[in-house]
Amino acid sequence: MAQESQPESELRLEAKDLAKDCSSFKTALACGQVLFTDHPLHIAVGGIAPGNGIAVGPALIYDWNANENWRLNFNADAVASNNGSWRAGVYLKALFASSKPVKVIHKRPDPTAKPKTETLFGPVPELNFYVQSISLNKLNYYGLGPFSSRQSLALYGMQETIVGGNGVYPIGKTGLALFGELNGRLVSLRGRHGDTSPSIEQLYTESSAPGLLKQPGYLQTGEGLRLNRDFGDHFSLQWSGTLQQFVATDSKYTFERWALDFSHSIPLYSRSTQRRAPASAAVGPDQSPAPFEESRHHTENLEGAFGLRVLLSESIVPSGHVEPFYFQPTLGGSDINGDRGLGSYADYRFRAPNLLLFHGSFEHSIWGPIGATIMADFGRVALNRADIGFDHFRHSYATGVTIRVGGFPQVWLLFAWGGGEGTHTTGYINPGLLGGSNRPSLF
Amino acid sequence: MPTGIDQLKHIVVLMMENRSFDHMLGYLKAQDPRIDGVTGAETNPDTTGAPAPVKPLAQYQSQLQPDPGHHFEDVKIQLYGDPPGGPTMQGFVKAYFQKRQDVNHSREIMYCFAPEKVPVLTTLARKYCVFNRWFSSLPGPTIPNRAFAHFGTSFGKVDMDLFYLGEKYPTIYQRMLNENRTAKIYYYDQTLGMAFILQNQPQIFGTFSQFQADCQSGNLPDYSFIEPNYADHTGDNGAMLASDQHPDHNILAGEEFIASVYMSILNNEELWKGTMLLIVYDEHGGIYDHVEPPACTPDEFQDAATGFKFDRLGIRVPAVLVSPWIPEGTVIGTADDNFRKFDHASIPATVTRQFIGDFADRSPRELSADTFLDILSLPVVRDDYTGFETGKQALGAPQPQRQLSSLLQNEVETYSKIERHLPADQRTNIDVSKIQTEGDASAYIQQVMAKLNPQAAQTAR
Repeated sequence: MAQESQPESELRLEAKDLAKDCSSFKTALACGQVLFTDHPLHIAVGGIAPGNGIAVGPALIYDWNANENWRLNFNADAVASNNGSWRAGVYLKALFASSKPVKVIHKRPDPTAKPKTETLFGPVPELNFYVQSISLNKLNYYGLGPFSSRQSLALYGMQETIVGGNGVYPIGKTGLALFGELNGRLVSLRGRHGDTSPSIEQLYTESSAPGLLKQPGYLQTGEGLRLNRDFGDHFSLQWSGTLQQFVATDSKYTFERWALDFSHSIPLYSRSTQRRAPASAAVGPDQSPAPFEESRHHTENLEGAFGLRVLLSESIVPSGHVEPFYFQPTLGGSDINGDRGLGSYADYRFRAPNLLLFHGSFEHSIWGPIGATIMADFGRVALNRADIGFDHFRHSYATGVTIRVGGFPQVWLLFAWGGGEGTHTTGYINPGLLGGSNRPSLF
Repeated sequence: MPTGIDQLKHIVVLMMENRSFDHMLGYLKAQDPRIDGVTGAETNPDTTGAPAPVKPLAQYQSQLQPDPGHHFEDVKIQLYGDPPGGPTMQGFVKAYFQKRQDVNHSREIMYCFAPEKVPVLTTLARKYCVFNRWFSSLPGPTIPNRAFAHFGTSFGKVDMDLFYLGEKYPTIYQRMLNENRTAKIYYYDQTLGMAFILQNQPQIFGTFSQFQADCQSGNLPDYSFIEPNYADHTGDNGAMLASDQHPDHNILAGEEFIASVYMSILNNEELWKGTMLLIVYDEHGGIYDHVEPPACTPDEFQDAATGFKFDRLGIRVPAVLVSPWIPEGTVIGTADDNFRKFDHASIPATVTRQFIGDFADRSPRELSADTFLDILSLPVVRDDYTGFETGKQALGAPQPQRQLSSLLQNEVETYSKIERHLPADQRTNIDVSKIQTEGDASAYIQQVMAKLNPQAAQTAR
């Protein structure tokens, strides 16, 4: 009898689950779980890019641990949305695990040394490889710079194919890591007709939308350093600095970009268990303290935190060169990768080679798993690096509720306003709950 | 009352995932015959009828793909065979064959770890206390077994139903808070505790880094339950490996996590003297064990779909108790103590007994569960030291001429004992008393491994 391979077995087991759980209405929930989450095949559902609807399609996930060291995850999906946009990609994540057993020691450390935290595990190196093509039918373009007008909205479509990879190499358990990437990119733009807003070529030219007439191929490299540290329950930070090189087949479009992204979280309450003196310990002069009453431990039943993020991104464009508008970062709603900034504005509202964003937030538990949050964004884009400063900021505010799991907010439902251009109601889930993504950035 | 219990201020439970006793600790029997592990002669028939023996060839990862079955129906096959009716504990290979129809692969469900592959768990088991008879609470999967650790019952559930809200009995955490005591679930970054607890989240939940900070400051709650990292995931500064040891997650990452929990307590001397750490696995994960689960007091709940009355425990799991008040080399569950048995209901039962006292509002299973405070039996605290550090830092380059360490000497003796179970013509005939260097030990161990599994040795070459 032929022996079954692992992929064959997984497919057979999934078919069995499907037959068991999807044959009766009573098991609809289990059936949904099989259809949308089971491995190796399932139906992928999710936003494809702001303004392009929800995309649905088949996905294949296959985990294979090749030996004691390598943990491999293959992921392939092909999804299409209701406005005709689509994305197809194949992704491979490889994690390297050590195979050297922990060492037993019998020598007692210096007894006078202060107690220290001992963490024997830490992050491991990660490699990602990807081949992805994405076609987006409706993207907003308001012109470049901080003073673009809402009335100058034009629409365009774009297809981008990216082939390459990236890697993260942690430096021991310091919280520091090196980041590197290398990929090739092919972009092709198209107009979008039939909407109330004009197509991009009807309003803009190569000078007002660099890259509109010609989209060269790119070799893109990147290097970076990341720092991620917790300081007990007082403070945590995530810092990153990256430098990217975009080398075009037509050298006029070659440019570089650097970015600094500093995120911080400051909990309002200590999560530590505290010793609290007994109430009777504070006694008057004529009273005797209760001698046998021990101090009690307690922990706060409140949770809240302030957050602050500062993002600065600047492009280095040599004289005579231009940075294509479709690779320039945006502020407003969400950008093409789904990252949020100035939430009350329309998606992609402000676009320029240089960007500065401050994001402040406060979140607090209210009752049970429910919390409340308030956020404020201040940011601007700039055509020239020298124009980045603390004036002409756009602002956006948001408030809403959070759903807390395990003591921390994991789901946000937000109403955003401010800036005089309307409001936005949005919701999002902590991407960590969804398993994260190793898809490449589109710019 | 023994001094250790008088001094006991903190109970810490670390619950790992899905490995059986024999798989993780079985080969310790060669080092200490009181440990009810494997002799090397245990087998299960494969689907061709050929016996598949236990072997000390388990790897950190890559062997248990796909995940072995461990739901109620799978465990029935593992316990009673397919078709049922034969001798018990003989259905593991056949059950795994149902997951992947590859005869050779199905036999790997019998593989166990050589003790030196998992030195954290095996060293703590030998240095402190190992339970021969700690069983999962029911023959089923993760969630209902973990429910027993939190509630003392799964309220009649044997499946992965996540909804445990508004149930009849309070969690051990709520009981503790009601008595003005402190209790916390410390988790890595995603918690299974969310299935059981929505109220008082800030009081009850904390992250693992908070656990370490609390150990350092000496402010650990009265009761702490620790959850490992349940999934590999990308982080900003590299990927974090799952440390729960669920198949086919990396076992070494779990070893490092267990060592980190232990070292965090050990490094604060005052905390160390007042803390008891239980390391236990939620269920066997479909992996072979040779001890038949015993009958137990039925719960007041029953699973409607299967009719199961919770009157039999699940398959045996590794459980190790650590405290400086425990005599070195304690083995619980032998003929000397009339084979005392425990399950996860013993956890809330023990915590309740230590910190709350009489408390009637509990399930029949918890009320009848044995407790383990008495194992802290020494009159004075131990002053020996056992610590861990990462292999990468400590191993360095091989030094074949270096004199044999006592640890390696133990390993050589273990392999010698294993070898004695082989047919005479398959033994190496090496006199282990003459092994003096690390190089000699390495050559000997490799030869024994080659005798145990010639095919694997050939592949390795």
